[in-house]
Amino acid sequence: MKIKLALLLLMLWLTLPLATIAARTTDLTKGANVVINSEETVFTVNSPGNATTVYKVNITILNENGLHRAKVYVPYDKLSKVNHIKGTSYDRNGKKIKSLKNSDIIDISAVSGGSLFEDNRVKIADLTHTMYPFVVEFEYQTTSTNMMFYPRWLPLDEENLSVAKSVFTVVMPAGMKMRYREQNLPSPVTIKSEAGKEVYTWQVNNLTPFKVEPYMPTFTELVPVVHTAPITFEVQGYAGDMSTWQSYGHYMNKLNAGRGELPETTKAKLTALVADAKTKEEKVKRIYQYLQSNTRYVSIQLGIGGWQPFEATFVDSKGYGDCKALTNYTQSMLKAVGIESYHALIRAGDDVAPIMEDFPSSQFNHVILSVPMEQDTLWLECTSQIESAGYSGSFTGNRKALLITPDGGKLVSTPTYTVNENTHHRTVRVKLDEKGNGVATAHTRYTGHDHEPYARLIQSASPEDQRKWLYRSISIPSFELNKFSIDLKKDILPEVTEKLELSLRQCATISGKRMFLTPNLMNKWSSTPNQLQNRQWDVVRRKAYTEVDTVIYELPAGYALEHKPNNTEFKSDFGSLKTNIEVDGQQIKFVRTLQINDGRFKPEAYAKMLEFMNNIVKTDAQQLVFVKNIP
Amino acid sequence: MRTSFTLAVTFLFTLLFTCSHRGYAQVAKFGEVSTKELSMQHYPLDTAAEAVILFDKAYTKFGARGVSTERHIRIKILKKSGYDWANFKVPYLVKGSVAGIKGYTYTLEDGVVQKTKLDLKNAFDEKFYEDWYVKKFTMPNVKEGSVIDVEFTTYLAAAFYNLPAWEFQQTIPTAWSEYHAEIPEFLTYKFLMQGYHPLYYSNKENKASGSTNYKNFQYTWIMKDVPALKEESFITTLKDYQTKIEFELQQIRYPRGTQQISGNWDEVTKGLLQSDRFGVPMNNKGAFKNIVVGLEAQTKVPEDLAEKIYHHVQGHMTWTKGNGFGTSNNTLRKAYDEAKGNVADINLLLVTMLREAGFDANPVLVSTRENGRPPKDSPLLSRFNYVVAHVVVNGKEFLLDATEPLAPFGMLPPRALNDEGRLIKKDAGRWVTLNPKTRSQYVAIEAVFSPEGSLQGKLTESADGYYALELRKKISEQGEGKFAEDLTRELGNYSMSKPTFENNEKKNQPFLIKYDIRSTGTGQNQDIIYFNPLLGFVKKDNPFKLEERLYPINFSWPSDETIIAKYTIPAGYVVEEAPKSAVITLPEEGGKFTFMVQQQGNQLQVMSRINLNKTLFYVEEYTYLKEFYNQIIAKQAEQIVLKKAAVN
Repeated sequence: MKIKLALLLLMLWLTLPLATIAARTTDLTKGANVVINSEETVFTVNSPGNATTVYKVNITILNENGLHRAKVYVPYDKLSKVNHIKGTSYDRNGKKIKSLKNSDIIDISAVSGGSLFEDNRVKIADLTHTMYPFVVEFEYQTTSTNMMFYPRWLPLDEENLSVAKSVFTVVMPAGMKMRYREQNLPSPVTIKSEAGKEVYTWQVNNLTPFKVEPYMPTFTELVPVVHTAPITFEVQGYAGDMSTWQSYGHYMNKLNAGRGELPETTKAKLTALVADAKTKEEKVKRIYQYLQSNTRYVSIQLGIGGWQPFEATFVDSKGYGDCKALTNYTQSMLKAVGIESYHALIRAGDDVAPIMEDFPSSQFNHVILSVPMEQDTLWLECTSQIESAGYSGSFTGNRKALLITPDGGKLVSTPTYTVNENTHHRTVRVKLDEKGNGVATAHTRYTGHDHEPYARLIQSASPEDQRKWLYRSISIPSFELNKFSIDLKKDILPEVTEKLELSLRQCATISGKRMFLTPNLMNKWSSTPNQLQNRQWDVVRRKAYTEVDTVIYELPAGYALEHKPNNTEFKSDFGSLKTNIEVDGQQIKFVRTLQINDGRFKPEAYAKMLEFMNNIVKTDAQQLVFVKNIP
Repeated sequence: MRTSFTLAVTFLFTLLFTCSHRGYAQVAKFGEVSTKELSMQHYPLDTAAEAVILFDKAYTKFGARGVSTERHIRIKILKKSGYDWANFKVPYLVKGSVAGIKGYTYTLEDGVVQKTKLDLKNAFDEKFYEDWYVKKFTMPNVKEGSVIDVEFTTYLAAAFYNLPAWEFQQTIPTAWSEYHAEIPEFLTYKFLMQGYHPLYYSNKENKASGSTNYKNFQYTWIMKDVPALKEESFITTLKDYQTKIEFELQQIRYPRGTQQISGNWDEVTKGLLQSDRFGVPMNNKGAFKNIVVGLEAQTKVPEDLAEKIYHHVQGHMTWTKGNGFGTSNNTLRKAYDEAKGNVADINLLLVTMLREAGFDANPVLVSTRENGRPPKDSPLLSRFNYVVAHVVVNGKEFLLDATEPLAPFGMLPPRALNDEGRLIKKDAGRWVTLNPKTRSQYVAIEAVFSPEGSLQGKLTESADGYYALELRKKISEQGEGKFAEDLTRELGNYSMSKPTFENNEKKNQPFLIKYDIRSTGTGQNQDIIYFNPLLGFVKKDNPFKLEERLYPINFSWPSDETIIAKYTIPAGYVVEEAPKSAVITLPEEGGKFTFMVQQQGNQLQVMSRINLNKTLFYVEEYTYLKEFYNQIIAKQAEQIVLKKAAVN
């Protein structure tokens, strides 16, 4: 009887690929390159410091655009290992193509490009086949001792993918609890007790492909997700509690403890450095300046899952470190001159999902330093050799940071930069000749987010490369850049001043006796996003900014105005555009003020946004027409 | 005229070893850093440099542990943007090693030299891939103005005769680059020098080997004031322009005779044809008899048959993205049955099937654009990384590559378009030009103006050659629906409807995109209508903006961009002003721009055509090319003025 059952199961197993390919005829294949027929993740916590993950998946790959799913990537590092990887592929008739051999698995370093050293590696198992559709099955097991991170379940993890069935299970040992956060799920968790163990299970069925749209919210905000996190956990002998932000902070304090000592000689040097500084702010700036001129950022991700900094003495003697090490070093230096400051964990990046404030967990990828001042807070980015003290910008601004204080962790906000702070103000003066060629000077002042590309250019590009960059980014059809300068003024709101001297080819177009002039010289919009028949998602604009361009032309003698575009003014929820043209004899003054708002708008607003954007394109293409006086 | 590059190479070859024995400046010893080096504020020959290699010296010799290279490099860090030059990554093989690493950072601070030693405890060994490891370390206390002095020795035990190349040029300037190679007299190498910078000194002298049986030759090559290697657009790969010397083992002399390692093309061809992974698999053409017979049943016309065989292999086989010219399976039949393979599996299979059908078909070795220049001076197989098929049909030659699923018969994919390939054929080998098809875009507009000045009509875009390939690839990735949606736009005063497509499946015909267009409110004065006759299908940006050009401009393909627009003028209006017709040509028929305006009754026709016939333009032609585009941009921007006729 037992044998029969086993045989039956075996037969079922063998016919499974066939059955799953048959599932292709349902609507799960519509718009899909890949169908996940079944997926199961079981995360078993064995103790506060150890867990096992078993992952099984059966996938139909429908065409070559889904071929990347015929490979499975299993990352590991010093704190985790891959116990096994198995895999089998089947053709469209359910006939086995091959089983994964060890030689099909490669093992490579997974160190990110800018990093000098990390111990991250990845095993890649490849079952690429070329007659579509085909089925791949993978199973792997990993063990981890880095328990700061519990898994995130994201069954619909890319475009053009559908899911027939996906199950996520977390098994907790007797007496240990975990935490979870559900999002966009059709049905919530089921919790069962089995032999003293608590078993949490989530399941989704028949998820159809996700459609990406321009200016949509963050992908992970829109699809089914379960986040999980520990209450008590342990990494390499360091035990902690993650149930509150406060306790998370206590854990970080443990990792940092005793790593902030500085040699007496350095302390004495720093004391002398700030001796005649009049204010606290001045002291902080001097210490920050000292950091910037004596250290450099080198990415070396090691120690307690990458979260324990090098000791301050190391940075002091070697002059380099990663974000934690440099932050820790700066904190130590400030302490040496009697100023208190705190590490602040942050999710850095230009376009990242916000921190889930209601769910204390490891959501960070960077550390900066927060210095409380009398009224405000001064934020220091310790990995930059050029950043202004106090400026957060698009990398760390406008989001929550976890402040690591002696009383534990505390979520606080970093500075937000508004439509009035992210700006460019430009004045261009152009002198045109008879042929429509011109010489021009363009002076631009960039602030806030708008100053960042230029500050980066100053930090990382040689003058020769700056020149090439300007040639690429100045949007005038043909010109020569005769002279340029870019200067950074450091401040809480830093500023870059750019001065250009240009020769312009055919700035105005001469056709017979007429001269055509597009007054918007170098800040034209020329494209709009495509139209969508049914907009599904909210429209999100992440950047708010203001641009004011003034262009003053001096015409050659003998031309009379034939046509002048009307002054325009467009206002919408997405921003506003205002242009004004004045012609006074040979002088033309064009002023364009564009303001773009940030915000979140209903899907229906998309058409309105396109209309607003197209009004900008239309306005920017407007021309003045002059006719030559025939004497 | 030959390219200036080849000229440079020839020049260097004559210079090699003929240089008079003048003395050369001595490289300072490790640790002896001068005040001049420490106080340098900028590098006089390139004041914009972020860092400069003060000298880079190495000595390679053969010993008991294989080939060892002792290297001593000194770098001056001038700007913060040059800090990365203090990070070292030294690759080595698992059987070899990196040893004897020593390093110091010197910085002048308030007139005092601060010296910090590299602590090897902070160095890492990282397994990179298979047998390759990387030794990584970073220099301590680096600041603007620091001088770093580093030495180490690498051992290449695994590749005894494989002398590493010496790169005189890096992406920062090098003031002094000195390479010595001490080679036993029984090993004969060919020296392959490339690049634009001349040798300052070279020498060959006898040296005792430590054995009485043979002596060594000590070679020296020195370059001085080597500029930074700079990236430019429209080049094959930057590697092709770097000044360096490479070594190719020609022969090994043993007491009892000589072993020839690399020979002439005849010998290389013979070897390839006897190779289990090249010539031999192609011998079993009978394995494909049934398939070929099946295709022959469909057509008797030779050209059609060759095309059918090509499309059969193209459709049946999937390229695993693997390059090389050796097959991965010993039999091509096995590759065929698995329906996948590397480029050699696929194209040697194609050759074999064509032969089975009676065609004169042979493989052609290719170096892809990314891989660099093909070895036209020497039969160096290691320089090839790709293979395509050559077939003669009715006296006409075709180059075929069945790895590219969307390419028509006779079109090589862009990656393979690199100068010439070597036809591998017994007693009839030769170089064949890897001719690209033209990238062609043809836009036809037919539109009618209403008396109110708005415009309505049709626009057809026709894509051929590499442009068609690009678009077909996009459609295959995105699907027709999404691709059409992406093209549906309201842009400025014009709106383009959701387009329809034609000929997506017919690869040897142009791919067509058809739109309805109309102008939306222009807000213009109704008595006068101004408009650009090319409706925005104009060059908006000169691809050549920089004043200077260092390397020849190497386009992948010739191109043809044509726009023909026909307008019906509304009753009661006359053409007040229209651009003048013009023709602009590049020297030696390299390119031509034609702009024509014609009026017949109420029909106005405008044509703009840009042809680039050549794919290689020398540095001397750069200014012409730049000016060519400047003039195109200016002409294409010109306007037409329609005016309401005065009523009598």
